Amino acid sequence: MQTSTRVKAPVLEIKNFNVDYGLGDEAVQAVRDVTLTLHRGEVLGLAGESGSGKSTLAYGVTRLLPPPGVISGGSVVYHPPTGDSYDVMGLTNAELRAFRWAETSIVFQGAMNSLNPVHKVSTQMLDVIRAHEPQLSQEARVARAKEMLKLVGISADRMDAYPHQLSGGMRQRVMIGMALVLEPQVVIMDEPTTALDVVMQRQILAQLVELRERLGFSVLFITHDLSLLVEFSDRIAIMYGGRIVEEARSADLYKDSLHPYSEGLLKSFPALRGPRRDLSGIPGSPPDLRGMPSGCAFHPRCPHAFDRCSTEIPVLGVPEARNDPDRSVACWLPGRVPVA
Amino acid sequence: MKFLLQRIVFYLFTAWAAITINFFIPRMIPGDPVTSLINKFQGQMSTEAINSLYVLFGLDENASLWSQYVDYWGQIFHGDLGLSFTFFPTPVSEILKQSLPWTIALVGITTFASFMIGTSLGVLAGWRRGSWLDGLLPVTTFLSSIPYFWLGLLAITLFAGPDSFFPSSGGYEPGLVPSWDREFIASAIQHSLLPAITILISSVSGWILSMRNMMVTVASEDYITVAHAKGLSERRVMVSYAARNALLPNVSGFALSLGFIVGGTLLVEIVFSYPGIGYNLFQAVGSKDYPLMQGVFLVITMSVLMANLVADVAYLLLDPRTRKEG
Repeated sequence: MQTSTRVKAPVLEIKNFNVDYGLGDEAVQAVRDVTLTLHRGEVLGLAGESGSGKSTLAYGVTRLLPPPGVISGGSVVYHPPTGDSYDVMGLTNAELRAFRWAETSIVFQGAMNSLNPVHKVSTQMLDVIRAHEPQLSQEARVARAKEMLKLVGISADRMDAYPHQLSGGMRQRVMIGMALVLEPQVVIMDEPTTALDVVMQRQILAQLVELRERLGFSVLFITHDLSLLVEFSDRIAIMYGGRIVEEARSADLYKDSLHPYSEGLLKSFPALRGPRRDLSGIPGSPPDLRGMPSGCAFHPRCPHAFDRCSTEIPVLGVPEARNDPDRSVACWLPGRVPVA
Repeated sequence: MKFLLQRIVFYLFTAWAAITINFFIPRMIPGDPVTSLINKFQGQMSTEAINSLYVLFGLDENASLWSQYVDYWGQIFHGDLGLSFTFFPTPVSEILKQSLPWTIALVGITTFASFMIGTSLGVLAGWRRGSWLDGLLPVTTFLSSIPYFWLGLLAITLFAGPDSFFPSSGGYEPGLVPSWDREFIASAIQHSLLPAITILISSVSGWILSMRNMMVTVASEDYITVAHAKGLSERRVMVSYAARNALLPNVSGFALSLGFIVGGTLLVEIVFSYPGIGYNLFQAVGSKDYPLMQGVFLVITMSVLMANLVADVAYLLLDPRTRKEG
């Protein structure tokens, strides 16, 4: 499924991104100094435990953070297929509205509650087309919406259904169809299959891969389920305590993870193929964002921690031992320290 | 459709029960109008005169309760609610026909206005949580917690008087004859302003508060975030996603309050001596006027039932989840 042969052109560049909850001294730093690049046509997985800041990052990038969330620094540069690149953080409200969904759409965690219960599916699909492409005739809008529903495996006569008349899987398909209806360049998926059973997860993901081949959008896929990502994404970034701790191609991460946290995550689920491994999990619990450990946030739980880990925050960079520009890790262990 | 028929059958049954109770209640109250008339004349009445009064008022003790009940139903179907004791010999239906429009015009319009104003303010206050509008909420809550009769009396003391623009009582200038001319309508509006404003003050905050709270609840729903993420205009998200959903409980509340237009105006009409149906009830209770009481109760019951039916239908129209398939 990996498509590493594609030309690597960035479509969304997140640079030094910071998100706080609250203001002043009371502020909780939920996302710290995140730099992440999504390339055209790729699936970038973002994995981490609950509270690692992955959803906050998604909300922050699209400027949808509910109060008291505050973006305290960084930029998100979007590269449209034609025309100049621009920083999403610098858009005016009107520009932001035009950017949303047309360029970057989101499929949210709550498959059940993402649709408004009192409006028909058609109303909710058509109003987004009308908002972004007002010049389109009503017939053209309906045709577009029906075509999109068909692509995600929902028959066109379900247009007139209300959300409560659809099953959970169908609702999430409708949401995915809605997310693609304007053919955006980037689709952010925040645990889109978490509320569904495993069979439905498979079906929807398989369909997503197919649609991506066809429409060529990029996906930022957020989940706590690393096994899912290994199988289905091109690259994976691991988040811990609001920071990216490792970034690598999926296969590399799976075979040869460098950060002890990634290693722990990989040992937390059984391999689908290949030899049996011991399941060990990660001891301890995710850090409290109000009182982050000094140095590397993972050091209290890390089996390899030594003196330096508790005093200095490791920098994300290409590790010495693997001279591979596609890999980076934030760890003080020998051989993983970034090349200067 | 089946659901609606079920509701209608249910309301018909309720109407029957209410009308039956309506028949029995005045008869169970001790004392009768003839006795009170006798008291009025301080014993200077002959026995024959007393007997003829009993027959005249239909309180003939020879007629059994059952035959009175049957007669009662027959009369209701003919629209004959009997003759009023107090306004003898005017028929009750005539009195109600005169007072009902006053009540409906005054309280109906103010209830509707209060609902519209309160709901709109509630939408804004809930959407811009923490704004100055939201900060005004305690003030309106304070105003609505004032007992209505006191608010009314206060308004009369402060604003009404011989030289004031606001008359303190009545529905129109005493010298005028009710008709659809400009002078009369202007006078009627002038008389209704003070009661209308006091009703508005005491009722609007309920709508604001409930709508505001629903808006706050709905605003944190996922589909609101999705609507924002879709790049819809702020107005569209507020109106057709948030307010549309938050409105549901308020609409059923409004339909129910329509039913209390007729019944709930007692205090307003007593305080302002307004010639409406509540004032009729007040007079009827004071003089043990059974037919008038029954007539007023009948109107109140029917309007509450109608309002309930309207609430059911409104909910059916607004919330697709309540509609049953097939």
